Amino acid sequence: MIRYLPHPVPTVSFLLCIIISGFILTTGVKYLLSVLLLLFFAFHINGKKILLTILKIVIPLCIAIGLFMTFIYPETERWVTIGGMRLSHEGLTAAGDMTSRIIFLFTGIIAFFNLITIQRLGSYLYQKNLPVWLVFILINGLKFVDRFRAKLNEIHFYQQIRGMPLENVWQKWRATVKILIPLLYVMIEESSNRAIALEMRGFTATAQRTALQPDIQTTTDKLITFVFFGFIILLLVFGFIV
Amino acid sequence: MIQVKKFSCIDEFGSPVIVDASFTVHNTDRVAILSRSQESSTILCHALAGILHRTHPLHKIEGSIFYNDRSIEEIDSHERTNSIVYVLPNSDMLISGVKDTVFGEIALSLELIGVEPNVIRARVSHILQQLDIERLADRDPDNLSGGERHKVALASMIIRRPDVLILDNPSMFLDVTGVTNLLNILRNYEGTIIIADPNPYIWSGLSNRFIVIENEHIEVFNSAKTLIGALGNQIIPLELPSWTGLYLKLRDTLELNDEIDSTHCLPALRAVSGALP
Amino acid sequence: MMNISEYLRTNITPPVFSLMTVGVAVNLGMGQVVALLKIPLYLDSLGTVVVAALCGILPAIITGIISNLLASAVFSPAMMFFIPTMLVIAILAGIFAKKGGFLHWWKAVLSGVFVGICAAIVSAPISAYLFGGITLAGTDFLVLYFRATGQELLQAVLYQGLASDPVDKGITFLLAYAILSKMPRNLLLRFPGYHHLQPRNQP
Repeated sequence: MIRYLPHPVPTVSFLLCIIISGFILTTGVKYLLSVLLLLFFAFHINGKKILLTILKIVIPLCIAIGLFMTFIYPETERWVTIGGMRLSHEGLTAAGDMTSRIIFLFTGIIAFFNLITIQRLGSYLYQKNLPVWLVFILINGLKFVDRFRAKLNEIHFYQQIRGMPLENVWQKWRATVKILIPLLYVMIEESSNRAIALEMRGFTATAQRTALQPDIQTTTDKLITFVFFGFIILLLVFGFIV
Repeated sequence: MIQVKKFSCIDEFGSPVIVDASFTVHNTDRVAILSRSQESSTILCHALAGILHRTHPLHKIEGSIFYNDRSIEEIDSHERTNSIVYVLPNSDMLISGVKDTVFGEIALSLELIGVEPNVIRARVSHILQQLDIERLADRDPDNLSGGERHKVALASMIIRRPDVLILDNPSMFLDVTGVTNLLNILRNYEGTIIIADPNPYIWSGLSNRFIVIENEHIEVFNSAKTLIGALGNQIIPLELPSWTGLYLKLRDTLELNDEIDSTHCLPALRAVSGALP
Repeated sequence: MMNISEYLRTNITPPVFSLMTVGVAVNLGMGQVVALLKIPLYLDSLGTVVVAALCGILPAIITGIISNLLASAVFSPAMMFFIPTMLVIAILAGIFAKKGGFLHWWKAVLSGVFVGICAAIVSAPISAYLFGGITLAGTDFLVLYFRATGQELLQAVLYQGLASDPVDKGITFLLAYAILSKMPRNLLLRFPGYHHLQPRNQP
């Protein structure tokens, strides 16, 4: 088990590196790197979670794309027969290219969000003197979704009691409006009360902020950032030359 | 110093909420706003905090409120919230969630106004101790119970030490020890305190001035004594449950006749509800 | 010339950023509403549209970007690549709101359909290049159909987008109109974009 949870800076540079190399590297290299990434994360703290997410999201998508590309590819000129099935050669190549990119990018992005919590990212941005409201939105966005869902279920329950048939389009529209109006009313009303509270807590203050716990990067963090940025530069240089 | 001059507020349907209020709140005053309707005391609080025109945009507001001889609505938000802080009754709103510990959450109030880290640490520890919530310091603010959240919210507001602290219904989510701790903090607070609470006798030991809103009209009493006297002599037909309850109880236990005199009333009040000034 | 921090301070006031958070939550939570009512649409830009109508373009843009970032953390990483689509929706919704697009229901629908067309044009290349048009949603059959009739990939994806996005965005805008027109005035008045939602002859 690797117990290293990195600093936001190397993590974000990792994400940048993944996104840029996802569009530059060749198919084979991307497959290889994806397998290496997966192996690396298999031994990580959140390894199981990462692998499960990839199984749930990436694999069905790749299978769908593979099937789609190999069977319906109108531009086909060469056909190959595998196991009695006539498949498009160009389609297979395109599918390989696309799936490699998806597996690589998605693995990287899922890993990124498991390496760092939104809270950690937000608190780093806070210390880098980004506006405090931006940090507030970033951190509270997901928390508010839970509130939204709780309220939604509540209102849905009560509207069902009042009777909410869902048979035709008109009834569905009525139901949507009947649920969304009280839901958004509650959320907006709450948000305007929250606005007063946050104003009173000093969210509009113009003074230079101080930080209780300054965020310090370790040498490992700096080294990792350096390696990733070096890799990005190499990729860009070779990508454009080749 | 807050000066309220001929302040009136009429709600969007044309019925008056507060009519022709004029009074002055001096520095280091402890004011209790007593009202039977939660709405009118909240509106008065919002007006004193300078946010009434934004929270109730359809209300018709007349008259003016001055803070240190400046009209309160003309003071910029960041400047105003440095000196006047209004604490909402709903504690859920006050916790921003930007920090993942209670300590950080309370410290955020001071970080935002640029207080030095050493000072922040000392002040946060102090207020945690005063409110008796030191054990929560490292907990996640999202995983607290309602009462604990309210205490954290109060701490994060009081720690800013504004010149004017307006508390709207602070006892709503507080337990008895919470109220006692809050009272102890407020007793030594250097600044004006304005409390609107439907439970007035909790704060009677603290307040030296009482603003009673009865049928949209405001009456100001400069001591608990005059207020009790007014109650006893039925000068104002106040029917606040706790005051009347206390009054009737006293009348029964002390076997006083109906024309109660405030000099009789006060020692008994002291005995029942703790120290009165 | 105002500098950036001064501009942000006067434009992103507490009511605005508090509403932006709600907008993010609505964007992310609409999936649940759609699943609950079994509607064959996404409606996942409703939050952005409401923020655009009440607060303006810049708050809507930020809401959109943060929604898609967070959605890529919780739902599917693909959302991260569709930030440009959300940007187009935010900008156009803000402009239409300013021009009175939320004054009548038919204006709302028309602006929604137009926004849908623009969104389809922006998202088609992304969808085609990254995923071959496959999003594991019901509309994939349209891509399959257009491909089977011999269209190029980008064209097939664009046709699929043009067939589904205008409907989705039209209904999103209509919903936003229905919601905002039913909200009490004293609530809406707290937001800066309120006067775009009321006909001029009314006080």
